[in-house]
Amino acid sequence: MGVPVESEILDLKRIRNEEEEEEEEEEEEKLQLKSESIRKWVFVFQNNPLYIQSFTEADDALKLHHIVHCSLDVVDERVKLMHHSGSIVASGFGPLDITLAIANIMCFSQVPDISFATKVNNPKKSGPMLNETFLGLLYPTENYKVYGYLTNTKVKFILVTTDLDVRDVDVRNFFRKFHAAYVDAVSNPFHVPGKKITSRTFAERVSNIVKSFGLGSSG
Amino acid sequence: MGREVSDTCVNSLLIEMVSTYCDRFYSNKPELAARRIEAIGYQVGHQLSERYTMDRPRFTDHLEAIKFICKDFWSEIFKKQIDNLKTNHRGTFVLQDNRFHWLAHISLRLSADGSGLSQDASGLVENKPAQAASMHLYFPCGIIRGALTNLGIPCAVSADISSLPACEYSFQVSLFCPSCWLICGSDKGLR
Repeated sequence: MGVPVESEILDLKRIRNEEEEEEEEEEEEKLQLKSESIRKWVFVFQNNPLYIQSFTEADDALKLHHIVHCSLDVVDERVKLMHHSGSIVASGFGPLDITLAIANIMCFSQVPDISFATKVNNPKKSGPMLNETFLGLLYPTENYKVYGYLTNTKVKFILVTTDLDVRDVDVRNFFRKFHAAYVDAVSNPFHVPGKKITSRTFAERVSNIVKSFGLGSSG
Repeated sequence: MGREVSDTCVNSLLIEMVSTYCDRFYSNKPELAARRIEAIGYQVGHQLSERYTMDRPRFTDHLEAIKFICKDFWSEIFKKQIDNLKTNHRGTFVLQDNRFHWLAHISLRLSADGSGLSQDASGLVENKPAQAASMHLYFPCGIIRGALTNLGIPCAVSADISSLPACEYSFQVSLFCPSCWLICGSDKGLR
């Protein structure tokens, strides 16, 4: 069944000022893939979105941006906690972050193999790994699954999917291919770091990756 | 899926780039030429660091990132590692390369005695090759700066040639970072 591909570049700025960016650059790329009942979105952010592509109708785009911004906060929190030893509540969190953290813990009590608490209480993990396994933020009403991936250069990829049946291996493969496509797009000498990615080749590669991801996991 | 290019082509391109910027574009303004070349190197280093950190686990602190630059990054670009890394544990790092790949094959126009790098009575001739070659070091400085900035360590890199094929790159890293990076060389604080 043909999948309609629409690319929308939405100009969304983060609430944080640019002075507060520090060295963290997060890229969120948003892809939405609609394949029958399965919808997937991938975000790549860099404090302001570098690349947003949606594959489905945009009626709930605002909600998705909200989810993605929240998940960015969770990613930050996760990274900070990986450097701290053992404390679940780190300093400097606003009320929104704590609500999210609690929401994470509550949601994961029903999913035995994915546990936010386990990740936090494991401070001796030998350095945070390249890919963040399973942010797994379950949005309370809509049952989205959110996966995050943080590269060495502080680029964040976020995948939002409504398919609840996604396997860890598939997501990791997805992010690996996606990272390769991203690196090739950024190596373009005409690409200005910090600006949106406008390469058509990149868009095609990403849509191929998303399509194959959909086929792989729904098969 | 990587495509390859001849090493001599890259060397020639870089030598020609330096001479073009110095002699044609900014002929009387070596500082502008240097800054332009360094900016080109910055973008190249930025992009190369994206590519070469792709399959690696994340770095835990500044020192890991700098060691990555010295070992993996340098060997990807020059097929050898940095020979010596020195630090004063207070944020200053010096990278020493005893035979810098891009300088190893440079021939420099020398004074009329035509005696290459031999010692001369005036001692001026000894400095000339070093000075002439210093313009060629702005590009690798830019590469290092671009790579470090992309890894979260903004700094300014400067280079120095002692004897011709050997050169040193030094930079200063800010010790206290508001992000989650650990304090350099110290076990206190955020760890």
